Amino acid sequence: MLRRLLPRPDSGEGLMRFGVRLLVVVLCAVTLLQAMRPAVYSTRQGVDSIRNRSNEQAAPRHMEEQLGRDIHEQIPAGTRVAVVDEDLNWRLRLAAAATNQGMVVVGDTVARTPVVGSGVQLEIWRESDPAAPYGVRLMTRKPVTS
Amino acid sequence: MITSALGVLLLAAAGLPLGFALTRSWPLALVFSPLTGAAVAAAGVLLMTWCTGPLLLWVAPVFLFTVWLAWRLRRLAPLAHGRWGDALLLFVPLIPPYLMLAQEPMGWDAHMIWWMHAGYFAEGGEFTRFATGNLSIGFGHQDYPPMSSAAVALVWKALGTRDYYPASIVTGVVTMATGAAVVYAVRTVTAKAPALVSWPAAIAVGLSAFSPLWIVPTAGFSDAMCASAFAAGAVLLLFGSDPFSRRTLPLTLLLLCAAGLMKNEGQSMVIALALVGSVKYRRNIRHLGWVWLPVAVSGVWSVTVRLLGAQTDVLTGGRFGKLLHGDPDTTGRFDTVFSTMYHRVDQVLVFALAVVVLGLLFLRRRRREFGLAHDLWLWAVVALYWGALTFIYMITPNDLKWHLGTSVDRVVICAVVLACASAACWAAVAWYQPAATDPPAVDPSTADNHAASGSQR
Repeated sequence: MLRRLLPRPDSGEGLMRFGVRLLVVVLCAVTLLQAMRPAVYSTRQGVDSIRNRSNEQAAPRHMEEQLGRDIHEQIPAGTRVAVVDEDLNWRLRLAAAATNQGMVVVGDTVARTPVVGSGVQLEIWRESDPAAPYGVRLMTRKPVTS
Repeated sequence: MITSALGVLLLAAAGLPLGFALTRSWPLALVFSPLTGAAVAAAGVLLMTWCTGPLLLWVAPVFLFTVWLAWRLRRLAPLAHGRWGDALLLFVPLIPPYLMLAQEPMGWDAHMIWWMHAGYFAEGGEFTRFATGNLSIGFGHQDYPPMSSAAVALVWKALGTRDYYPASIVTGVVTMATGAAVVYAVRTVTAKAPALVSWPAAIAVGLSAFSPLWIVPTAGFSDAMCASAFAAGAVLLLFGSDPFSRRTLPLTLLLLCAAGLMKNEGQSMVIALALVGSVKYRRNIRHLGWVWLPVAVSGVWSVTVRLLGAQTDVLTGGRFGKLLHGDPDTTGRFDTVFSTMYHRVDQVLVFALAVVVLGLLFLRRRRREFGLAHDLWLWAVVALYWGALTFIYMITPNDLKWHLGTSVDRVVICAVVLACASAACWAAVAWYQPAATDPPAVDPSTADNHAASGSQR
């Protein structure tokens, strides 16, 4: 069975051509194995990540999801909000979470510039609060300047 | 986890009729159902964006249309390799690297781009139209195509959640389905080789989408799914025994249209393939429309979002004028761009190109006997796509090092998968042992269509 599978010279095929054919097979195998190495690494990392799951790792996701739920519960959809969190990372994540909940994000979210004239109805940011679910709370206020 | 599982089931259910219409095989329909479900959702998003209204209102008629389509096409001959055993081989070997989907889904691009788009799609047409042009969330690149976000939006909306695990899992299974599609494509065109060679080679091509950066397919990005869908469609179109037959063309077109609706780079890919396909099939004018259809579909989305105010940073602030005037700062970027791109893929590309050279020198006749079209068609697509990427990096208004550092590992995936598809085909050709009474290369069941089409090889 195995011998039937292995490549063998065709009738009339010279040794050199057969050798080149084998070389092509080997080079193809090398190409495909090289390209598969990251998939093998991903498998190992995936097994590790299943084994080592922890609440600590999940905390940022829980916070972001909780802030989204807070936005959904506290602010009517369609409200024009400006995200004024001091941390750029959280400012952008809050802007995305607010958009996901149907809020109209206004102002320059990246630069956190004043939002005069943008019709902002609420400013939102996040504050740490150990008593809140996942240790974070959504804060809102009417705009200081509008 | 229950929500994630429900999300996958929902997407599979949404895509099953379209999968059956394309394949007439329940096992294949099931394997491709996350991808076809995403296609149904994307069609719903397009209609919703034009006409406004809730997402589900537009997904429902699209779904019913696919049910009708499946019923109409049920008697068409099923695609080859459509048994349950084949379906398992298409899907199961791809599962291990996707265990990484268990990681915390906190990827920046996934949240700020793909899942934010899903969020505003889920809020309905009016909100989508406004959010698409809202510069306050311009960091989300609202011009990016809708397919992966549409799949997440459908699941989020139907299950009433905005949690990120379901989004990550849904994005991951759509990527897996495109991986299965490229395995299917390579297996189909190399079917004359022994199964023990053809299947492992095809599976390896499916897994090559994890190269060069292993994290990309499971991080909520659309790059690996776009590259795999495109490679699958390109292999079927360029190497299929009868690419324009009623049996195979619908699946090929779905894969290519999907690639064009997954990433902006996907648009470059389908344009590259359309150019190459136009030359390859130049004697069959009536087929050229099919070759350009994916370009038109992706163009519809591009025009739609630009009319709504979305901007593409490369187009709005690019250095195109400077490049035309030979600005040294711009032309001087070429070396950096080329070497950075090349060094991400050199470990695969060097061997793949060596195979091509040896194959072209010594195995051309054998390849013809095997029934495979010339390999240079595929490499012409790679070269055009590579050129498009180089051009975009040269005119980018962003800091070049930052732009390359944050994207080059993802945009070159397509070149890797296509190079591996080329290698897999050469492996099959080299291993293939022609029998004295070898059947013709063309699939007998499609021989009539093939003769009618006069496909060029």
